[in-house]
Amino acid sequence: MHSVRVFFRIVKFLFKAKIEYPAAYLGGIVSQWLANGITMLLIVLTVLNFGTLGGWLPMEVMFLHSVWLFTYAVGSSFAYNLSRLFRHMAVDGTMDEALTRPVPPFLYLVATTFNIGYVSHITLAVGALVFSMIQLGISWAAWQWLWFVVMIVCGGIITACMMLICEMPSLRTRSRSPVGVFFDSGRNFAQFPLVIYPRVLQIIFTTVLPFGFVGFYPSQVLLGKQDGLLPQVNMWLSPVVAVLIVGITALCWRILSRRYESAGT
Amino acid sequence: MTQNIKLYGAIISKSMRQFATYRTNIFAGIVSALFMLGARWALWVALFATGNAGDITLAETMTFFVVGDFVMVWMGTSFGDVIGEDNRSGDIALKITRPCSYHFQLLAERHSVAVIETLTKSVPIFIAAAVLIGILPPIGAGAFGLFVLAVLLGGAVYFLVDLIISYSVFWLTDYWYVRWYQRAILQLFGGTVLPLWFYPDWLRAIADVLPFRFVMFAPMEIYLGRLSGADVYATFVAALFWIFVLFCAERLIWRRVQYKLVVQGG
Repeated sequence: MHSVRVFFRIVKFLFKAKIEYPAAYLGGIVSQWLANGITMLLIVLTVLNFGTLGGWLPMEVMFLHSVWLFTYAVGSSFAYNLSRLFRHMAVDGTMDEALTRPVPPFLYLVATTFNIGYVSHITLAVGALVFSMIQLGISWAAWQWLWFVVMIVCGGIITACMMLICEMPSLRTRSRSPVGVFFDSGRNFAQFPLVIYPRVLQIIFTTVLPFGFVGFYPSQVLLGKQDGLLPQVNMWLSPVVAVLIVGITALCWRILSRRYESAGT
Repeated sequence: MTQNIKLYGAIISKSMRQFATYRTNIFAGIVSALFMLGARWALWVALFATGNAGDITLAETMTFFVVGDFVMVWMGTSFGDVIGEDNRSGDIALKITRPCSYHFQLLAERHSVAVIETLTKSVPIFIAAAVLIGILPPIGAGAFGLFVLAVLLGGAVYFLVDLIISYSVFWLTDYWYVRWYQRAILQLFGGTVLPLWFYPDWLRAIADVLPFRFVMFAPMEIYLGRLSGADVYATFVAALFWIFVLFCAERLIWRRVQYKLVVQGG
């Protein structure tokens, strides 16, 4: 409980520091709205032009893209800055600092590198979600709203953990992670229905790189669709995948932090 | 002039040597490029499977992106990051007093990155696409010559637009987001993500009167033979007009920047 309090306290100070320069903060938010909003607009325009994408209607694709953006923002808020910091940690002494604080080192690192800039992605995604739901004429029961929350939380966890796992090797290599590209490139596949990809890629994005569970599979529960590999099973598996991937991330962190060697700075 | 060419060559060869020592970057670049091609191919195959593409073919669309990628790696990054960092660190004071212009240094640095990206990104994509998908050749030698000319004009348009937007860093307290504005405008009005053929009429009409389509869309239309005869020359005239307007605006703003610029000692 003490650690959680410390976490929120650090995040509060980060937020205060950021809004010291309100124009710069707002400039950043608006730029992300524009860039991500235009990407979303172009995707919807593309699908509108052709009618459907792999059997998904334009507004269903917009819903999926919004979920993808939302979960990316949630995951990246916790993991983006940290994942980019791994390669510098031993050299600039950040890791030594974390190891000598009276809170768990991982929690300390996540708190001090928390990124509050993703509020732009989240607000845009929520707006687009509401718009697509109105267009689709969706009205959900209570359990479906609960599943929506579970989907976003689990999607955020899977995104954050994938990002951390792919970038963690740079803690040892002290340069760019050799497998970092699998996150950066792989996640982009998940913004569209997985069903448009060849079967081998669908298997990869359901197993080794489980980006399918970020939005595609769980969204099907809410949109009443059954696409892809074993949809009746996979559409419910996001929470299980999230728990598994948290375990793998913890294991990777344990191994790498135990073998950590300071640069002596 | 000869000295500038020598300097340009030296900057590029030095950055290539530096990059070659980081093999992970080369691996990452190639893997990422192939992933991107795979995703794009799957997306457009699924879209064309609906049969609602009009007179555009899948081969034309894939050629548009694969060949267009060669063009975009020479333009795709933003000067905002470099100028912003130079301004923040004070390095700009050193750079503007060197015996070659600051803008020449910016261009040479960008091209040094572009050479590497061409080798690690565009070439692998092109080879994979040519072997696995099939890429259309230019419709003729003449059209290819006009395409190269259109790329050079588009490069000048991009260079000037990028500079004008990037100069805003001199008035801002932070600069990381300047490139996002530039990216957003280029994507929406330049047809770099979705070719302008697929735009609704009202958006296409706006894009047609702005200069961003000259960067990649217009050269690719010439390459594919979708623009020919008098239309090509009309495009060149429009591009030259925009280059003139943007050049005047850029010079005007650069003059203001030189008065605005304050470098702290230290």
